[in-house]
Amino acid sequence: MIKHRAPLLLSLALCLASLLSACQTSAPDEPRSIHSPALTLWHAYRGDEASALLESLERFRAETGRAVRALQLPHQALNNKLQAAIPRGNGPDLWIGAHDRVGDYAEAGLIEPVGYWMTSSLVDQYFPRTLEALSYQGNLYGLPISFKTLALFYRTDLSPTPPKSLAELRSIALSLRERGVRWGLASPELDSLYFHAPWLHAFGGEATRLHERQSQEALLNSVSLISDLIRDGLIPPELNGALTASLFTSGQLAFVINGPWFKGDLEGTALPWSVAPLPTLSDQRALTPYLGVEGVFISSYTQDPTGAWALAQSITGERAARASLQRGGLVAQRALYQEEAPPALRAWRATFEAQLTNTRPLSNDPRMKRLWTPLKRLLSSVLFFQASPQESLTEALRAIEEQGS
Amino acid sequence: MSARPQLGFIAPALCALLSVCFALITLNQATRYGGTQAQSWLSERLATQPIQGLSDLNITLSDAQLELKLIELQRTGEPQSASYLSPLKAFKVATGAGGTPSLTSTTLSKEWFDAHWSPRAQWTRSGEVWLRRPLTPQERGALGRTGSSQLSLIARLAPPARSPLPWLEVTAGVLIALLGVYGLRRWAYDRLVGGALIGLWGSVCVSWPLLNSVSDLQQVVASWALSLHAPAPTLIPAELLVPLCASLPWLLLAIAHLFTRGRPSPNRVAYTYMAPTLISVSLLVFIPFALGVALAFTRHDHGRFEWVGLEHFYHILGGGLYELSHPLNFYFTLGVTVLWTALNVLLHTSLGLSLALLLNRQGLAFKGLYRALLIIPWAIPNYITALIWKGMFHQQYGLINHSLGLFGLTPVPWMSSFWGSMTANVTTNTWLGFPFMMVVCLGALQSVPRDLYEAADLAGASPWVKFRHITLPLLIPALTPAIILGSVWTFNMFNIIYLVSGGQPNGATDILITEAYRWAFEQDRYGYAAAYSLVIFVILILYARLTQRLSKAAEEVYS
Amino acid sequence: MSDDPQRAPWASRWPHLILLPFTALTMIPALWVIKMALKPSQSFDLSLSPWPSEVSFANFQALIGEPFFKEQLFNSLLVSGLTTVVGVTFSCTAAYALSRYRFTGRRAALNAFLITQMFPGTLMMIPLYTLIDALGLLDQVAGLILVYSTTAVPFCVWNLKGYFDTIPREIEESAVMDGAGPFTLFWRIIVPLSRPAIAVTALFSFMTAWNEYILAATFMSDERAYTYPVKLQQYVGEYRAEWGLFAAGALIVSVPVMALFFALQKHLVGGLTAGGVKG
Repeated sequence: MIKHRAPLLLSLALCLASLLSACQTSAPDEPRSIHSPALTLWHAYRGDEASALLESLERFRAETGRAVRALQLPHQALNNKLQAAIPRGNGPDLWIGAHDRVGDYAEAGLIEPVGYWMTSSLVDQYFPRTLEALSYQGNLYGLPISFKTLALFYRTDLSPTPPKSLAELRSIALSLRERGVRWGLASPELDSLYFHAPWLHAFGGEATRLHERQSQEALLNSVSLISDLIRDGLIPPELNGALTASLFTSGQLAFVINGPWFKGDLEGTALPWSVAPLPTLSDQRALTPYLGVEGVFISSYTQDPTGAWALAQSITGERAARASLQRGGLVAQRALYQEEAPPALRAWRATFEAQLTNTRPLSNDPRMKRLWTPLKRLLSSVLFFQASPQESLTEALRAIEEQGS
Repeated sequence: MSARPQLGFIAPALCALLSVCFALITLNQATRYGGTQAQSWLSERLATQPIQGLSDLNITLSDAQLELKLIELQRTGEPQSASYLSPLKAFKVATGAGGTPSLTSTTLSKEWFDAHWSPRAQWTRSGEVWLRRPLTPQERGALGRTGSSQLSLIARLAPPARSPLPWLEVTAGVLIALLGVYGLRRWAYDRLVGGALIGLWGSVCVSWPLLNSVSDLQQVVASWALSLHAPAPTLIPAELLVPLCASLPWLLLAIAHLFTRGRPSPNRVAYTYMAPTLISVSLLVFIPFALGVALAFTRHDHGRFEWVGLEHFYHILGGGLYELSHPLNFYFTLGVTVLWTALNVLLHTSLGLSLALLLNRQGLAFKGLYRALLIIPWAIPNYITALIWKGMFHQQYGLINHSLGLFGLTPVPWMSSFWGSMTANVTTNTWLGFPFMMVVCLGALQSVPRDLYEAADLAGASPWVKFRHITLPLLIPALTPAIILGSVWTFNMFNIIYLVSGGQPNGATDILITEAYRWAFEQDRYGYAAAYSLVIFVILILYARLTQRLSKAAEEVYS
Repeated sequence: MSDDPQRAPWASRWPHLILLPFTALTMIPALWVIKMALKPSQSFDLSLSPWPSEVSFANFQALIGEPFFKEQLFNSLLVSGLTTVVGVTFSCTAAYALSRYRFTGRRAALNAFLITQMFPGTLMMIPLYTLIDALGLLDQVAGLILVYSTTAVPFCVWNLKGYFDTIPREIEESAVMDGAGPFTLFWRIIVPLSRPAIAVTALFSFMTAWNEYILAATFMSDERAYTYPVKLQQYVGEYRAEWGLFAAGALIVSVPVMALFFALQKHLVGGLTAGGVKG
């Protein structure tokens, strides 16, 4: 018989015991995520914005008695953490993020459509385009806090009035070149779809419709325009964000097409700078940049959708928006732009409000993700390496197709 | 007894390991039955039974009650104006006279909504599951509800009053275990292995049809999973029970065998010392790895996983995004990756070793200061230093071209060519990586006894001879791990390529891991990314085997 | 023995000819970091000269004034310190077993450690998160320590094993004759002789944990429990980064590493030459 009987019996007993313990049914108990009195909010704000957010959360707590636990995250980690935590019930009740992931979140079932709570007065409060950016397949998924888009930054000492058209910009840049300003125009990334989009849209194309002939021709036209500008020496050939800022501040660059974040690079210096809406192309076609909206989203796993909705309203409400607007933020509350602005912010607000009418929301469709890398390759190979535009376009289209499979 | 290798425990350990791997390979079915994945199961259940008419809205499962409600979100007004307003209308399925179901509509109250609306699988007090999915256009047509409104199906799955055990599986497992154990008459090696094999393959044969069986079993398993009231996916799906039951007695027997001997056998000491590491590594590395392997055979789409078998691998090995004739296909990227790895490892090792030799000299002044300064590249977070290097390589405004200009040389367009970008990448990574190699070499140099050098000095050997015949042979066993691991890390180094050259020009300096990350983080296609990682992994394994065969020194390391 | 006095000046000085320029070149990017940290501007500095153009401690003051600065720095030290302790302990014992004992599964274990490094880890974030959650270690320092140690252990085991292999067995054999058990052999003979390798292991384990922010941000849900690199990474925003603050933070973060290295330096030399252990 078996030599070591005791261990054998012991092991069989353990085996049976573990099975039975795994299979027993316990009485229905509380689910793990108990309705907690405090709402959790995740955000990637920093510095002034973060403290302003905390102030409005404090105000919310004073008014409604609901405490809010805010968690600050690095921007790169936010999406990862959301995707890992929410399905397991460890996610927040709300979070603040960019609108371009709304499609992904909606498809994955992570966010809650808020159409149920919306009222027409609430809808009227915000710029319609910002609401459009936050909706996916007919459902609105969040409330907009602020928006960002591209505008023309210029130095008032080099060019007292901003150019209204590209031709005007070109002539100003050429005259400035004689005065020693080497470059005329720049964007932080020439090969990014985000910065090339204004030109593409001006020619009547759209990145999501590249399988159509009209958009393909528009793309070929826009890249050839930029290539010409590079060849004429108007645009520097090798660029990045830091270089653009440094050239602009040192007076080597006359005009920059960039977003509101550029202000941070200019504020410390004593430069006389200002913003204006983007110039038009020669035949009155407006440069139409992408619109990015920052919104507050409600998790679909939240235990307290009503409370979360109240908080979302408070964060995007008038008081918080007014405070942000005073600091130079670009809020989505429409009516506040009619109010008097301090002189320093007058041009700022007017520019972006005007530019907003000429924007296109960055598509939040999940399929938009396929476009970035192939188009980046296309733009860099045509603009930097003088590849044939038609061939690059064919290749980019194929790459987009492949990724979809 | 200790003369013969103690193989007795291998069989049950192997049995357990193979069973776990086998069960994990069918993870796509298993993932359906865990907690929140009950949603996918239910959706699929609903999907496999599309609504064809009103009668389909009355679905009940054996032992579990499924209740369906139709919810319609209607948009009032035109899209340009006050859209996004949506009162809720509910269509209840009522059984009319004669048992024919009819559709009656009511408007849901806000209170009902607040009390019951649980858009995703959410566990309520009584263990119910609430789910929602939109109706397909076909279903909408079948129900006569065409139009632009948003129709959703809400399903409420209540668990059965009594949770059934998967008796079939448990019994099968226990019987197989007993059968295998019965095969033991003595602790003879062959009988043990024979018994183990019976156990293993018996469990496979029994569980395979169970795993692939009809929906009845799925229902049973789902309701069992639901009855656990777990709000999170369970890590041990039901299918694992069979092999685990079959192999658990073996594992316990093996452990008992080890510890009931008289004098501690060498194996026992070794295992005790290895235990903490092995346990933590198995838990935290091998389980995610196994899940990754399973993922590689699925397609991920917004939280849903679908089994696609080897499709991803065909696509990758057929060139990836570009077909074989294109310069940027998978094999080109593989070549670039190998080149990148080889250059880096060569530079790191030679630089690190030279510096360590220099800094190890007796009587060198400021040794400590040099060492501390030379470790700075490792100490500063590489995000900022990589971008500084990128700035230095800028064609017009970078320090490197500026210095070249000072010496009268023509500036090099670094980022415009493949070799320029490669140089920039390699230089940056070398700067970042040599301190680590230097430290490892410094440590390894201490293992060389100094009296060997003294003897060589007495014999009048030159420094080169000393290095070649004393230092190098004694260093290699200590350095080889660092070199092998260093090359593995460099192969998978995503950061530097992304930050410095960004894959320019035109994707030529991208390495394999860049592609995998792109698929994972840009495209959210975790299945494809996992398949890519698996391919990278296999390449690295082959590389490790190759180095083992080629270098005798490595052989020594393994012996 | 030390060098011959007549040869001393040249023999002991020529390495400086190589080391000095090389160290200077190595320091250049670091100088830029210092320059950015000392400038109040938040732009990335692209000027040609790495010498600091202005000296202002505004960035450092801003960093220290951030909420929870002390707690986060302390968390970093705690996590990295414990990772070092746990990592060194685990890998020492495992390397001892792998080096001194021939047991079945030895080659498999060695290969297994190598294999663990080959699978790109960041893609396994979600399974790892699920695992840590299932173990109940989310939001706990222990969870982070466990994950970091497990990441660091394979290299440490290999490195230590390689070093242990070079220690001659005669030393142990004589101790065994005197009746020493495995633990005594390990603790009193092998470990003291391997101080250089253990120092390398300690430094490596520390570095594995120190600069890592993605796992820390994902596992921790309270700002007070964050480690410092998580906070540091917040200065890198979606469209632009605050480079002055980030550079200052980078410098703050480098200091403990340098301090640890200083402390470990004296262990990095020695080993077989210290203590008269001759065959």
